Amino acid sequence: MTGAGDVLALARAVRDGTVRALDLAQASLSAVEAKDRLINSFTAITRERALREAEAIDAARARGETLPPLAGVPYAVKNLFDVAGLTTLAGAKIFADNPPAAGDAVLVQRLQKAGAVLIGALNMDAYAYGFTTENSHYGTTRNPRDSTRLSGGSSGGSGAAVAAGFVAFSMASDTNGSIRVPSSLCGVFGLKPTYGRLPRRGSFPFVHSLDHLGPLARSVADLAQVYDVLQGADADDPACAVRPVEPVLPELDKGVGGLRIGVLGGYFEACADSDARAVVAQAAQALGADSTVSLADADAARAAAFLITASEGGTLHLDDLRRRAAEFEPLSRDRLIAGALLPAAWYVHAQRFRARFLEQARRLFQDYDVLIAPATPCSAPMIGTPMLTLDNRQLPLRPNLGLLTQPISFIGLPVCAAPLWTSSGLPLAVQLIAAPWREDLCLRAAHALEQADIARAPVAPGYQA
Amino acid sequence: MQSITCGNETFSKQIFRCAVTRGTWFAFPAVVRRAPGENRLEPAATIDWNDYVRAISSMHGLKLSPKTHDEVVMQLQRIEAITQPLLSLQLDPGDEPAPVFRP
Repeated sequence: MTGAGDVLALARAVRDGTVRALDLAQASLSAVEAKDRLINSFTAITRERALREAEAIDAARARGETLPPLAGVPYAVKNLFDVAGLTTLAGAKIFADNPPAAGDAVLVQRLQKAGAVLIGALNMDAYAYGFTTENSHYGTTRNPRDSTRLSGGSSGGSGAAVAAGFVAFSMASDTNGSIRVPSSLCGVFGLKPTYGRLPRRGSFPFVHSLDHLGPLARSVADLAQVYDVLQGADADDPACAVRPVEPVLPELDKGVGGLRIGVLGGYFEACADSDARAVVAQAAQALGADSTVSLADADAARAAAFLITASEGGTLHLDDLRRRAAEFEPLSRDRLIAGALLPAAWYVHAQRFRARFLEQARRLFQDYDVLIAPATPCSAPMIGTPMLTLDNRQLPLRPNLGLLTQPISFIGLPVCAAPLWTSSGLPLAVQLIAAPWREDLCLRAAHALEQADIARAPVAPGYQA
Repeated sequence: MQSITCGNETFSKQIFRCAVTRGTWFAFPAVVRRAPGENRLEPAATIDWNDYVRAISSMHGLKLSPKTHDEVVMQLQRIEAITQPLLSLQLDPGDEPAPVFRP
């Protein structure tokens, strides 16, 4: 895999017979085996399954069957997705002795039906509680753009594996920014759909009322194609909305003409360093966004997301915290306990504010179709950096990499993270945010940035085939 | 015994006692109070997180080592600081919770 457009290009090549699915699977497996030691993005490789799935695609083609849209395309999933035969780790040592999953997560089933070939499972922050993928048990996932830097989290493996070109796309979860932060730091495109759009059944939860699932890829068209395959209701997921499939791939070429695009100011500017402000300005100029918009109470929204996360996340693990606290990831254990002990009044206050904040955002979308904000306050920090500096303020780095993503996922808005490039040569993504259920608008804006050659996600130097 | 004011009422710092005020708001006496005339949660001037953690962790069946206890107290102090913009925000009585969230 050599660059942008891999999902669509590879599927087309397999359909045309230019390449066999088996060759793609073997190339992907070889790349992981040869180079993943540099970045530690995988926690398991599903070699037998990958070869079996690839051979099935090649056999179907030999029989003259019409191949599905992702035929032969290699991908990998964050290790909180159930994969039949693998233990679902969710980044945590305490789950390592659990029995293997009996079946695949719903989204993995859909990808298999679409012909995609699963290469393995990817590293993450323990329990998905973090923004750095510094995992005490499974190691730190390093950034393929610069291996001395963080890949972001909690889906660091998903971002790094795509940036390194090991797979054409990956699957991840996003509770507070876990798709968008790695997209930004690793320089790949990521889509966090509307809350409730994609079913979560068969994935290990972190915060039920905030968890989203979505894909990462190296081009917007690839992201759109994968997302279209993933869509569809699931009656067994109570949070999954009953909505028809609304394909976005055919929408991309509509461009941004006629779209009303604004830049989120205030909180979103104050929590960004000069690089982050610069990429927003660049995106705004390219998209013709000349007005700055205020989303009031964004700081309270971030606080509420933080509170709900701590409370629900901690409570989810309370039983294990009682019985085997010593086995928990040290970076997370005390935060989980503190979250489980929070006063109920605070949690209720946060949930009451949530509904009101969504109404504030809805009013904004009466005047705007897409809003732009940085995805992270800065580009990828060096591994081990303890503090983040913003306007002479020193903030602890780990909890604050999600400062700019948390207010948006708090109300479930769809976002495409599109990687731009700073003067230092590191990527830093912008969030392209739309009203609920308008993933098409986020992706059209991202595609326009890509067409203008401002947003791009090449395979990292040193990892090309 | 220390006490804390909640609306027009004063509570002991015993943590399991809650109050319901006008059916629209409830307080957790050791932690929050109602500012007069305002419908918001305002953290008490001083929260004794050490006492709080000792009592609540016991209620939840958590046995914390002294080191973990101190770490949890520090985490709660950090959460308290981060959540100030939310807890000091005024809500209307009609603002309903969104526990099952549907955009």
